[in-house]
Amino acid sequence: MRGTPAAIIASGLGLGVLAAAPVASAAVSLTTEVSQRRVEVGSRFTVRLRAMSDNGEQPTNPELKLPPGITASGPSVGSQSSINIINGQMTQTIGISATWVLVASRPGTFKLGPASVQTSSGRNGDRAFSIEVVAQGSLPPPPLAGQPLDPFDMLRNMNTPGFPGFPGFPGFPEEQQQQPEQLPPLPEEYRVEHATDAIAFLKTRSVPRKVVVGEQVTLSTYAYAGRGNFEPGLNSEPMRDDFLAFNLMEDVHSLQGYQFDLDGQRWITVKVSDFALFPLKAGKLKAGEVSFGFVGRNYSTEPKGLVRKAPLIDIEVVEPPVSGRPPGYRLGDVGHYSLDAQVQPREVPAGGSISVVAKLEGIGNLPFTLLVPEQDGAHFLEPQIVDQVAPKRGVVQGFRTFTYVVELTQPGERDLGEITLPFWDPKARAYGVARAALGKVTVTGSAKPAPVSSKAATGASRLKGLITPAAKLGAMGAAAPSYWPSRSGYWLLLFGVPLGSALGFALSDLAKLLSLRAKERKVSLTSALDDALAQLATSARAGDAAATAGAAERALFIAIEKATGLKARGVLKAELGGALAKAEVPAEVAERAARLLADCDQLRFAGEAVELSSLAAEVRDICQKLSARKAAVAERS
Amino acid sequence: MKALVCALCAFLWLVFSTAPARAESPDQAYAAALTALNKGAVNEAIDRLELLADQGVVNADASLARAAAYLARADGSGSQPGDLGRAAAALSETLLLRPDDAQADRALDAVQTEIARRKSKLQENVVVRPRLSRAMAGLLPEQAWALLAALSSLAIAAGIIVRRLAARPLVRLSAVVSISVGAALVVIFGGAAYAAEQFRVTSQPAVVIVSEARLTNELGRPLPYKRGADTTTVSEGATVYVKDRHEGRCLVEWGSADGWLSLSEVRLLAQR
Repeated sequence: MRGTPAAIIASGLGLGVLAAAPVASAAVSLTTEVSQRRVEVGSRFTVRLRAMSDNGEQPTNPELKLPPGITASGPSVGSQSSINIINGQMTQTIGISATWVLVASRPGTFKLGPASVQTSSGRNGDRAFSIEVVAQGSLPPPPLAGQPLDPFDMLRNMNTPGFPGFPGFPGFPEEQQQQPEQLPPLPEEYRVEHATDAIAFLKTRSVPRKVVVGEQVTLSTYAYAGRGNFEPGLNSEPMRDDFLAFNLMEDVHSLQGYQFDLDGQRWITVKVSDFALFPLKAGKLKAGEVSFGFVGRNYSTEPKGLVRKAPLIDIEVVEPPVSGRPPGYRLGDVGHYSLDAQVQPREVPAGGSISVVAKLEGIGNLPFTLLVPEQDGAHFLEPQIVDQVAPKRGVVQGFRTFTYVVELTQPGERDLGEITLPFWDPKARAYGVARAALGKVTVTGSAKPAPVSSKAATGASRLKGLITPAAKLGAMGAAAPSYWPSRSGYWLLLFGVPLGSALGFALSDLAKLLSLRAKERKVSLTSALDDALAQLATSARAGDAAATAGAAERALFIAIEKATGLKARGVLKAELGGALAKAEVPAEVAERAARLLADCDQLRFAGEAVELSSLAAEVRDICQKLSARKAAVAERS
Repeated sequence: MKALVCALCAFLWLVFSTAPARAESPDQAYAAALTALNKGAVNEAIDRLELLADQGVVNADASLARAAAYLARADGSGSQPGDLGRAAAALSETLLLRPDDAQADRALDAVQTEIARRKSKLQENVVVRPRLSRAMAGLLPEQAWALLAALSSLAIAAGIIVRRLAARPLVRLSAVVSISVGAALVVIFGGAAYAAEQFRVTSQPAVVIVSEARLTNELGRPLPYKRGADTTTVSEGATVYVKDRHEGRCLVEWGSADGWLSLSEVRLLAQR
């Protein structure tokens, strides 16, 4: 006997059978689903309660009343949210999904429920429902593993030999794992390069990764189990706040599980969620973050199971190109559509109405508005919409019928024009326009006087004639104007011109001042030399050796500075000859000047040994030669 | 055979009921919009003129025609919330592009008066006092401030030169006065030019196009009302300055208050 618990996960993933119509209390809508209406004794089956609220309050504390003979584990609770757009009005609902796993211990007909949740207004319950429990082996056997799994049949014989405790999801008999040659081929979407966890892991995949606003992205999550069969534990739906979502597994009645070998290990994989997402805005949007519990003897025996999470993935959403965009295109109108329209009747009295039924059909999340023709005397009222939009083979598609009442007030034969829908076709990567010509209608009788609008008496009616647009589009502006303050050169000039002129004059003044100072200095050197020579003569005459030495030394230093600019006091006397030679002083004069300075030292310490008058005469001679040399250099230059 | 014919018919119907969109030149699109406006097809006119704006056509005539289309819709039975705000945005844009457009100026006054009249019961302001710095910088165009600052700079330079070169005391005194006054003016005008440049670079004018927009903080919580401060609810048609944008929201300056709005609540004005 082989049995699989695929129905457990199937119902956990929204594959159950609707058991009761939704019951809406004041603020919460309840839906109870049961995976099977007929079950065998000992078989597991699931009950799922979905409680959704549109007032922002999340229901809590789900409960399920059970009769004797039925035992339950759980519930596993997951949060849900959905966005609905009806006639352009967007509503967001949030809620929970609670799943119980039940086992019947004896045959009979049992009344289960009601399942209920707690809200701020009290406990809200759904309707009760019945199931029939039959003896073991009364129901037909399940299909083979590797084939599409019927969740209802797969629940059979859960605790039979071969599946002790956790007979396994998605329904691969243990012995098959020893026969790799019998494995069905693994579809490309299930393939992974490496296992990210040795025991179990999840993978989320979005196709494609880059879309335009309103284009379908298929977000699929795959569970990979490396320790044999498993059952689902706690699981959550993917986060998808910025998307309009369609559950592609809502109406799936069979799951496909696969086995494959990877890195020397046998793996079981199954798709656990599949959503068609339609991005509502542009940007790098995030979706995913699915958690899934693996329950089984090799995983975890707790109800929530061994929980694994798939990370969020980025989906790049852009706006379709502006170039080539048709007028009236609304962001999000993406797909491929065709439009057909019927007009009845074709003849109507003035002031009467006709019916225009436009059927929009195609692939994509069908828009809720069409562009209707506008003309005086024909007024389209808000349409009534009937639609059937649902996923089909993984692609959202269907039709939407718009029924307009058109009021015709002006008599005569008139062409109503056409109803259109501009859209972006992602496959063709181009815009298209679905059109439906409405043809001509005849309006008989005479025009009725137009009713006086209440706005006519208000200020709003005066606004219409305020503006008379130009008959032709004026010349396009040149390139963006260049503002002076945005240029750094402007600020340089703004402050540079006055500062520059002030600075120029200041520098000029400084140069003049320096020149004046230089002249004054030269004048002062000449007088200082004269003073020193006069003092030298006086001292020599008086026989004052020390004073003579000091005056001679000062006269020589001044003469050297005056002639060469060299401040000889700062130069060692031993090096003075070389320094004077560098200053182009004749060697003989330089040598004599150096020697006289040495004589001055000698005179200071041994005055009697030096003839004062001859020293003074020689100093005066050298000073004159140095001055003469300065004059010669000045003449040459 | 019958099935094949049916399939072929269905295919042909699909092909011919869906036509590829053809691009129009701006002139053609404008002419088509005016034609639609004149025959009363205001929605078509608005669609065409909005598409022109989306395509980056920055033109005062197109903005003015867009304002006319929105006013026509606001005036008709198919008016939609925000029409007057969008008209005000289009008129503000016209005045940014063509500041001397008297028609747009008068129409903007009328639209703001009409919005204020409708809002008067709620005691909300369409126009609030801008910040002092923005008000002062906005007294003259940025280029005018820059020109005045440049002239002041030249006055200083001339004063310096004359003061240096002139010999007559009266002339030298005049030069000193020129330097002093020029220095003061270059600080004032240069500061105004810098402020105007910073306001232009760091913020973009926008107009609120919903009936009212509530300023929120960075976390999306409504700003608390402060006594003496401007209201934290911005009226339709009010001009705000967008200072930052982040994930579909924008930080705006509204009078003396800063707060966040949804980008869908404002229309950014095109500037050259």
